[in-house]
Amino acid sequence: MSEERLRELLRSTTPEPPVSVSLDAVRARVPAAKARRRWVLPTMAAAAVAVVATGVFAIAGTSGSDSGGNDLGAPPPPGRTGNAAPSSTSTRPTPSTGQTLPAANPTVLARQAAAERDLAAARARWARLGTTSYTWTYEQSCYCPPLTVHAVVGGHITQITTEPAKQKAPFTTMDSLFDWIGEQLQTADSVKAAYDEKTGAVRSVQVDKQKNAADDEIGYKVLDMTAADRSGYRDSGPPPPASAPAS
Amino acid sequence: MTADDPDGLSEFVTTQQRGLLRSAWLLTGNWASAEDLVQNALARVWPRWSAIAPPARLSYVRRTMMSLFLNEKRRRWSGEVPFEVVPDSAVVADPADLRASVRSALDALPPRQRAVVVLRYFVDLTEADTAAALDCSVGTVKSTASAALARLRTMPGLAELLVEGAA
Repeated sequence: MSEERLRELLRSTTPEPPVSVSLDAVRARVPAAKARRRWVLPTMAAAAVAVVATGVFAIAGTSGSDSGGNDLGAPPPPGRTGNAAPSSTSTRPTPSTGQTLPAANPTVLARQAAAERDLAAARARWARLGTTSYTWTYEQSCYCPPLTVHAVVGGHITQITTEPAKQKAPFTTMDSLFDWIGEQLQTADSVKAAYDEKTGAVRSVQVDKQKNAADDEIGYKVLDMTAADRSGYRDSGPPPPASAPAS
Repeated sequence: MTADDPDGLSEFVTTQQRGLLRSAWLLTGNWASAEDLVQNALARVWPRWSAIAPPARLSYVRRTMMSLFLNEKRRRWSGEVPFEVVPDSAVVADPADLRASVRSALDALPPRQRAVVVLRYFVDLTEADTAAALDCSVGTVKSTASAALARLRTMPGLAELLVEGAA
């Protein structure tokens, strides 16, 4: 079968639309779409609180050097129990069909606002540091083959290596990962992100795009981050082991 | 963009709705669902419309549309299958029959294969753009397109039409 023949066939047999898009109809659907972020059932709010309670991310430790290098592997200072900023979670459950929606839950709205504030603060810390040349490695976890991306960022030059080879890298720079998290906070049902408390760099993020859909969860975990410039990048060292889920 | 349409949405809808609706029709198989799909996609992107760079708007809407289509297909089986023309013709003779054959062939494809066929062979996107629209790798697009073509080749009433030189 010729692909060109299929193109011709699709074009010649697809009819002209007898309908048109009504902007009024689109406008009428916007509040419904937004409502997914604004409304919550009480039980779902409780579930969201449980997610927050479990929320320490895990990150693979690396070299363990504390001699002034820029690696993520530096051990935490004495007395510290955690080196990453508290993870922020935004959860927005979907209302059930035909169910009368309760009033907007202030807890969830506050949590969402907090997640957006955490992102903005982390981004500001990252921008303040001015790290433009760095090497970072992250892994993707989802219902898909495992993927690890190693990116060398230096001004405009970016070198990407993936494992397995020749895969599309979801992100090349830390800024593009920040952008993605920002988008997910607007659209996904649940976003759990953790940032380095000193540098603002993303440590890990877990996203559940649709609460009721299976296998659509996706996560990224930064395994290594090394600055190659004189920006003074020095993060908080490896995180503690993931805590046991709260009962 | 005009004073009446400061964010350019109205102009976008006017210029792009034909292509979006026809793509949606190929995905859903009927105009009511196609109209719903396009309008829902626009409703999703509307709150962020002004933040999307104008050159990226079409691909953004298309990507949203594909995401909605695939999510909907994954979430529930739609038991209602509206037929404008009953696709029972064994011999393809006129455009209406041809259309029914193509549509029933597309109906038989899994949603992701159907989406790849529409994007690659109707919208005429590159493999990379198709991958971006479906949030998957180029390799996945290639293998999915290959599987879809292989499946279409086996479909009675369509296989002979897709042979080179067929009328």
